Amino acid sequence: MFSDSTLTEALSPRKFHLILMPTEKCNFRCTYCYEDFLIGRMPPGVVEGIKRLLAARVPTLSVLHVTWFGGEPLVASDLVLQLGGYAHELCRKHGVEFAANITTNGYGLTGDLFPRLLDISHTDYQITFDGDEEWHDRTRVLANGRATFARIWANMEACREAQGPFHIAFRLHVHEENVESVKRLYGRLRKEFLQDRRFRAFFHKVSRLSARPIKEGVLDKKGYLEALAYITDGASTRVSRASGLSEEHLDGYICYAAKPNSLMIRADGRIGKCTVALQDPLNDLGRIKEDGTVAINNEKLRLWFEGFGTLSEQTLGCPAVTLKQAKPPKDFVIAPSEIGRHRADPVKGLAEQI
Amino acid sequence: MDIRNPFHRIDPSGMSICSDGSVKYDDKELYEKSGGNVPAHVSSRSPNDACSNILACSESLNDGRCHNVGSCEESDNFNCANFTDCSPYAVNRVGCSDYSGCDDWSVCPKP
Repeated sequence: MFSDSTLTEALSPRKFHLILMPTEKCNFRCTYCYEDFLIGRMPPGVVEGIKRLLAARVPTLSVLHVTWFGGEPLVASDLVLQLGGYAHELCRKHGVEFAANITTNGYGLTGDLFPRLLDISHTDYQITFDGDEEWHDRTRVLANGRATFARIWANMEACREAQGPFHIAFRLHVHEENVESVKRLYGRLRKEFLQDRRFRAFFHKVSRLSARPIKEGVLDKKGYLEALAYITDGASTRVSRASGLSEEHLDGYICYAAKPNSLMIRADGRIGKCTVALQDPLNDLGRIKEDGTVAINNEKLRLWFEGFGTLSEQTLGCPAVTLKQAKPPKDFVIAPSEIGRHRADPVKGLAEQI
Repeated sequence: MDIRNPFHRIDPSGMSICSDGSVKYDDKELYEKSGGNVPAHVSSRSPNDACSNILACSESLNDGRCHNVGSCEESDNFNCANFTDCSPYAVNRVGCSDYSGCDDWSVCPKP
């Protein structure tokens, strides 16, 4: 059941959520990632188009929310600073609330870059770990195969020294093989970061979300909840389903892809709704032009809004599932039991995310 | 019409995005309701997004903390796992450091 405020926020024309991919290249090659990394850096014409779109839209808004996604967005950190800074200043000028979050692998979130991002009100971050160093460095590796844990951890220690408010959420991936590793990591995070209220952790189950098989063993719901209880020493069993501790602890969630006031602009200027189904024609809805206007196939777009007709939790929680069930392509295997409700903010990769 | 629910009927076929990126609803009532009720400080990570009756409460209190606002029932603050204290902030008494809904951990016992 959805609250009025949840529906208001999802439908409001005075709120605009823009998901931007400054590049679809990534410096990581996570073993389970579904992305193809074919599209590179956002060209100047698309950047200019986004600026003009923002210049036209912001004066009419109450809230602008920018989400950076990729690829790895901080591979193109100059574009994040340029466009994010522009949006931040525009909102300041017009008295519009501005929020920005970055889904990043954390490798490039250095102690030098972090304060510059905070200066332009980019205060929310999501960083994924696949367990402690032992497991993380098996699956979340650089494109050259090298380890990443130590550098990400050092970056987090540097971020912890920054002044001012920010929120860093650690997304901890869980599968059959890494439960002990995640427990060790969780203990270490509690000791070194989670006492600081600017940091938090939540869990997510690794699932197969593309046609390509993954090596990790996928937990069923019962096994997953048991694993969370073990990892958290039982704390996960004492929190409500609205706590956001994991995708099994979310109620009344409406995916950004279902919201009329949310758009994704890919690095090549194409417009879509879902950050997961990137190869799906149903997610190829139009494009932004250099003059800042958008050309959108509204007939196709409305398919993503169908959940509002019934207020179905499943459809609004993941409209892609309903679309795929209606017309399943061979390379898209998201099932309701696997994706369900994921985070309000898009997170890196479907296989990676879920 | 159920006056408690401005979204008693939503027709997806009447939703569009214009060339300037703005949202357009053919249903004028829906447009007005959705446009007129947005608290300025609501953002996607506000814990009060989950409060089912926040629209009946003071918008100024929607400040990112989990409140029991005005005449709202405690159950409206279901973002707090163990809502035991309405004033001034709702605090989660269990697993504080793991919990996103409450902002003021200083008054929480450490897990």
